[in-house]
Amino acid sequence: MPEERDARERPSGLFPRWATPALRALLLACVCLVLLVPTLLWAWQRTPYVTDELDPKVQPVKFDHRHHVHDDGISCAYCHADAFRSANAGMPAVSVCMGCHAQVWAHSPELEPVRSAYFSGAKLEWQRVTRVPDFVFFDHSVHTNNGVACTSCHGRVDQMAQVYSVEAFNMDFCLDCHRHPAGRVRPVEHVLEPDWRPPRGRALEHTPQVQPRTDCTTCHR
Amino acid sequence: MSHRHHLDLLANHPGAGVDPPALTRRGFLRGVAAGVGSASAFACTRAPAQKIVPYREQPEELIPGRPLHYASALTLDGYATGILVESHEGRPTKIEGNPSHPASLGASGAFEQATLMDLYSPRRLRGAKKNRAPASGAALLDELALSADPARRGRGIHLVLPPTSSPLLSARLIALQSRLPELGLYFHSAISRIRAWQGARDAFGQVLEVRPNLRHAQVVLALDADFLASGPDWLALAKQFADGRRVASRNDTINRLYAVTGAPSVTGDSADHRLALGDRELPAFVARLLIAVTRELPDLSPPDLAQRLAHTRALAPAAEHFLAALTRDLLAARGACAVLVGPRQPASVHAAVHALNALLGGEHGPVRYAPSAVLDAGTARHDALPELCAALEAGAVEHVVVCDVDVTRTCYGDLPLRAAFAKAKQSTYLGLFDQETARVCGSLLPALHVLESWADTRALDGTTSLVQPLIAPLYDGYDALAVVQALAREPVRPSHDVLRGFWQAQRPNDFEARWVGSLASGIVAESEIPSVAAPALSWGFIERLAADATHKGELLELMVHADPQLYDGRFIDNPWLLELPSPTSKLSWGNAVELAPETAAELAVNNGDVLALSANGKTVEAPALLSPGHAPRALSLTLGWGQSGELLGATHGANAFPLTSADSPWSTSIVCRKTGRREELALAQESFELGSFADEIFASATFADYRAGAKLADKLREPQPSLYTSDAPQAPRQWGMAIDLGVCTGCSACVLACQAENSIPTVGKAGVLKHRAMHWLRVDRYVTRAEHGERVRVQPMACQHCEKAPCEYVCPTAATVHSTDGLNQMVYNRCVGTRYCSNNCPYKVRRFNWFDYHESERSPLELSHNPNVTVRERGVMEKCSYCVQRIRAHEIAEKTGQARIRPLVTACEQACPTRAITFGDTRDPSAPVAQLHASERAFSALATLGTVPRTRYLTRLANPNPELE
Repeated sequence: MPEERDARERPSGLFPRWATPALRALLLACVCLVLLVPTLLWAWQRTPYVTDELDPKVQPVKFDHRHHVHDDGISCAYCHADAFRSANAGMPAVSVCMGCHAQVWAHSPELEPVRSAYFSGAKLEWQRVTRVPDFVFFDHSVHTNNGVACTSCHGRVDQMAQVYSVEAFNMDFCLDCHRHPAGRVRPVEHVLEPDWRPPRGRALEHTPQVQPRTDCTTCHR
Repeated sequence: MSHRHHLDLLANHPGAGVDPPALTRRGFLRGVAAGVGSASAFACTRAPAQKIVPYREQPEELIPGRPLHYASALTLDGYATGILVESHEGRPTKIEGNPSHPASLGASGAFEQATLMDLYSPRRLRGAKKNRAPASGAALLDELALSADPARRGRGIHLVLPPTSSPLLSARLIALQSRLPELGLYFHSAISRIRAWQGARDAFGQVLEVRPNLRHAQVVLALDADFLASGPDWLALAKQFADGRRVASRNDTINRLYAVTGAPSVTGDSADHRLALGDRELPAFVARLLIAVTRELPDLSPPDLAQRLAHTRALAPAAEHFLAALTRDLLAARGACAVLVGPRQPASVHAAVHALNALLGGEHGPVRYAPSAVLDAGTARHDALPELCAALEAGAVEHVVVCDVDVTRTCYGDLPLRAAFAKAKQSTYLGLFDQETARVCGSLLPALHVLESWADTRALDGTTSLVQPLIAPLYDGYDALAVVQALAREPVRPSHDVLRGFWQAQRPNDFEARWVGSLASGIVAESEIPSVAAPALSWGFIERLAADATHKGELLELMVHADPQLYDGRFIDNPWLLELPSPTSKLSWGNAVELAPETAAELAVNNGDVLALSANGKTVEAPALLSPGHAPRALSLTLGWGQSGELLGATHGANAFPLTSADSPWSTSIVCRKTGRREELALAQESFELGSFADEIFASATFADYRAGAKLADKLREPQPSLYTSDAPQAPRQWGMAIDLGVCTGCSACVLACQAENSIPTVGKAGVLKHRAMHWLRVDRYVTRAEHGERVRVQPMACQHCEKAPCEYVCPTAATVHSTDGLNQMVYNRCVGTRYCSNNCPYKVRRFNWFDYHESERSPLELSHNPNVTVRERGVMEKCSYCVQRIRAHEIAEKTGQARIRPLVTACEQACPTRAITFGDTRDPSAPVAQLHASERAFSALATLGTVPRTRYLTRLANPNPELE
């Protein structure tokens, strides 16, 4: 009898037997999706692909920091002097490059972009390596003048053939240090030294005059 | 399609923040879908690569990321105001007053602040044109040279300039005149000072400028003189006046201000006593005052003076009462009282005021005199447009050249100059914008903006400033000097070289050091014109005063004024000024016929009723605006609005120029008719009865009560119980602000300074009508009816940075939170735009970005933005931050041990002419703000709500004359 068969397959008389587990699975899938999608997006935003971490940039000139820092013994501040007196670290003016390279490697084809920028006014376009978003008003000078070393944020640039960013510069990276500066700032005279370590047997202590702020408007205005 | 339409509309009205057209449901859904789609697509991609381009050679003084400041000067009608301009990597972003310049003393007004918008206007003239077709500027200058044939002695050449005080240009013009003796030279300004100059000539036999110093004046009488908001030295006068009014303790003394004005004015609002008199009655008032004063000082004046002035128009009893008390007060303060009169009044009134000052001030009085710095001041060249018009109509004009002045629009309405221009064989206009004169001239030369040019200019007191460029010309441009060089058939040399050569010839000794020193400080040393006490008086003006004082008119009187926003209309393309609420009427994006409520009742008109005003056969239509305290039986209208063309403010407001005439430029008898139409007025503050609530917001007292030891604003000083407790950490510094309502005049310079500093967008008239204006700082104006006339109180109102801030408690995303140093912070990235905070703010100082206002700006307006402030996007709330970017920059300067640290001031504080605003660390007992907070005059607005604001106000102290109470 048709009615009996229907009663067997659809006990409620409306849905087949598999409907309930299917619905449960669907609901579970929805919940997972709601949790999973944001989690994945969150994770995705933190992958080096998006944050630009560890991605060496191809520059117009094959500038090798290893050579300039170690072989030639040039300090960071020789080229990036503005890092001590301005919000911007600043790229050195072309004339700074030419100060040496008018004499040294003066005819190297590698340095042609520098020479043409200096003599013919062409633009020397460096690729930006380290960046914070536009709504962050970061100031280099207040950090460099208060014992935050170059390497604290930029890593061992002196060991990089092509410079890459070692940090994602998410807000937690900044806040971590701003909340717990002890052990992270050094005497100001050592901020430029990539190899500097605290004297043997002495841990770095919190320098009392360094009082980083964590107010929102410290960086966001 | 509708989306495109929206974009096009915005593109056509950049900066004005025009609302998009009404959205359809389908369009909305389409937009949502597109938004969600693009958001998901773009959110997952990498940020675009950025490039850094270094300098070829870093300029010596420039450190990228640190602003530089350069001194320069702005000139209005020939008189200079010194400025300091902030420049970020060669891009001027903010104008401040130059503290060492006598006409600024560090303060700046709305015009100075807003000059930046003219520089960056996308509608500036670009490229020379001949008959509306592109042409070469050099070729046009050659044409000028060609027409200036010395053999013809300059016949048929006519040159129109604004009044100028430039030593270089003056010398060049004099040389040009000797080369071309028949050259027609005219100096034109709609807000001319010829009547003041004529008055001085009548009284002293020579043209002298009045140089008051109000610092030690005890009684000041302002006769239609808005010396607290306009005039060549208003910034200095406002400071001197405020210094004589600032009270630190109960033992101080303060000055007293009487104002006689027809229409409400900033000075009238600040006065202790105000008498509303129309222009017809004012000469009679002055004549009566002169009679009353000379009666007490008979040996100093001609004996028959009272007789000769006997037939003056009668005054109302209230005015007579005012006059009697005023006379006694002036005589009691003899030697320390000043009478000031505005440039609108006839020469006879100016002469009478000179006589009054000579009688009342004496040898060492506050009012002194000096020759004018303006070239040919007081000569016929300054009021000779009818001559030009006649020459044009006679067809005798070969070439008419107009530099930097919209002459056909701003001449008297009875002069058919616009039509006459067509009869000139050639006509050339040099200017920034496509204003009316540009459209009637055949050749068009784009002008350089003052921030792009080299020049020199002098202040009222003669102090000379060098004008130096802050930026390379954005477009090809020329200045008046180039035109004069072309007319002299000289090769057109760069203005810098000419200027330098001129000054080198003037002061050859040690030139280089002096040149650099003048550029650095903004003033040329020892260039001031020394002032002298009043020379001997001649009383020949009495007959003319008697005639002016008997003038009667049956019809309504229309009083015409310079506009507080547009001046004579030259700022018609300036979004900041267009949207700045008028200090007295709170009207923006237009002008209106202001009239007293009693007169309005007589005429049965209300706010927004469009009136047709007819005079001299011309009719002008404008909406009515009721204005308590306006003179009865008189209407007033400001100049500069109602222009034609494509500029930002064109089509807004009504043009008052057609109603003016050479006989009586500032006051006309008119017939007024209701048209039956209505127009919406973009009022920043609407009027309603505050009732007793006013006492919760504002505290005022009389100086006499204060001296007697009365307690002030008790209710607004008591601490309130609170359920909210705070254990948040506190930084050693706690920022706060004090605003002295005793010296605030409501001039609104602070409003524009705030707008410039914080890159605040404008929203257009439609936006203002929907209460979407974005000003972080506004100036509230309260009018209360007192027994003798209206009492006006003004109060700057911005975020109060409440310690127990109602906004913070309701924000669902913690987008507004407190900082450890006491700031109410706004975190744009967290804000999702619920607007709960604004609803819960009792001061109504939070502003919501309904649209991406900055997105619709057309290039190069974005160059004006402060690089240290976030550009806010649609959907976020914003408000006063106490200029937190300046606070943090100051702290960084301290922490990095910078050698020269500029004092920490907020933008509003820096601009304020009267120094009413003080900002600083309330925990530092030596800081002025801490002392002001501790003053017995300090109170908090709406203190009973328990918000504990960090901005505290100082009780306004009026100094009324007991006789008039």
